[in-house]
Amino acid sequence: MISLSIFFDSIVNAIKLIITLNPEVTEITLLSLRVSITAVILGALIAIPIAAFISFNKFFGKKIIINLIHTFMGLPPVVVGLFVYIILSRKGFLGGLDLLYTPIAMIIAQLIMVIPIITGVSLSAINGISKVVKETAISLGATKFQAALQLIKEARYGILTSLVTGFGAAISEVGAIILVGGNIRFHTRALTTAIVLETGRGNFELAMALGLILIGMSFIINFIITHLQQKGVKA
Amino acid sequence: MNIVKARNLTKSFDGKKVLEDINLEIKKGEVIGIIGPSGSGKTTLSRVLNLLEPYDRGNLLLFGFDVNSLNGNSLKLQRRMAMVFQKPIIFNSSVYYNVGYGLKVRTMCEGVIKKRVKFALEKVKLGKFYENALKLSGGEIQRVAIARAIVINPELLLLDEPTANLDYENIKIIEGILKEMNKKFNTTIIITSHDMSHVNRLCNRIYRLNNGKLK
Repeated sequence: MISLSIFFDSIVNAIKLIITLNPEVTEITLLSLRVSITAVILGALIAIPIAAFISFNKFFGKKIIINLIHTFMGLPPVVVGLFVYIILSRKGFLGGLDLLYTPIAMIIAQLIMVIPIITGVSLSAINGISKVVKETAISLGATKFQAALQLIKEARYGILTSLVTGFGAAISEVGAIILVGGNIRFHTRALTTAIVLETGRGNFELAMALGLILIGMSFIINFIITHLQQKGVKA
Repeated sequence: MNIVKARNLTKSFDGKKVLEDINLEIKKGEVIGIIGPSGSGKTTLSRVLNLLEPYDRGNLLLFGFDVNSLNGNSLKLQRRMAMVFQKPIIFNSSVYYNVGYGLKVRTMCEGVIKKRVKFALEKVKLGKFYENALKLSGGEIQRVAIARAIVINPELLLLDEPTANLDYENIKIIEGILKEMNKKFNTTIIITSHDMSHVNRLCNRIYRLNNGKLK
């Protein structure tokens, strides 16, 4: 029963922290959004053309590449974090750029995670309609590039799902960004890493507030995307 | 001038010959009918002529150009023709977008596109300019597919079972458009169908395709 009262007290205090726009909570939330949205936008710019290219062309090793993408969709975040950490550390390949423990390092880690997710989900959306859309476009005089753009346009609602999936993975991820970001207060502290820290400290109100914001953001983004998808299906 | 000249065209899928030694000569302005039962190779022949499907053996000249020597650069020839598929794929967008697509990819200006789309839609007796094309009925979708092919004003128009599953009213509209296209623009038309009466009403010459062989 004690734990239940802590739970409810935490929720009440969490709501207070959110309503009063607690500076630390606001800072953490904005950083999380900035990092994850940037990673998803960059990821989409890389992954969607890759998915269209794979779907559009026949080439040696295509099946292996698709298998690899599907495998990488489940990359353990902590392994990605370790990989990025090694690259960005002083002795690493990009050590000279001095990016470790910065939001850019966090974006790089999340980018590596979301590229296979966006590629894989987009590929599934595109593959189902690839042949017929491509042939229709080409029979009407489109170049291969124009046909690929039309294909992406036709698969837009499926691609939107890939972005939501990518964003969900990025915003909720903790292992990679804690390694490469270092969870530095007012610098690289994100929602998930802050939750881990505050829970460890016994600061349940703050942890709960951050948890509620995380769930709330996921809900709002999913709601918007689902609304857009349903509108697209009905159209 | 020969628009199509095929010599011994052969195409197989998984070792099974779908087209066998097809010989065909079609002159500008002719309306050709190719009839045959389902699975006789009609669709494959249309796709080969539209350069959507490569052939295995033989020779194909389109508009006087040898298809074998295109080296993958088939765009110029493809833009001189249009194909209407048996089950046309309609883009999830407005009727206007669908019909204007062929002009847009040819980078025509918006004013010209609008004028020509309006004209093509009047021809197919469809006024739903900005409605989403996916909301249309089967007959209307087929008419959109015809409109987006004729809006390009192709020299060669390929139609794969254009009237399959359509009611008499829609068939009459489509036949009227094809006759007008041929008369007004001297468009060469190839229609594959299993409907002998439809082909009889339109075509100068009729071929029979059976088990991949053209007679």
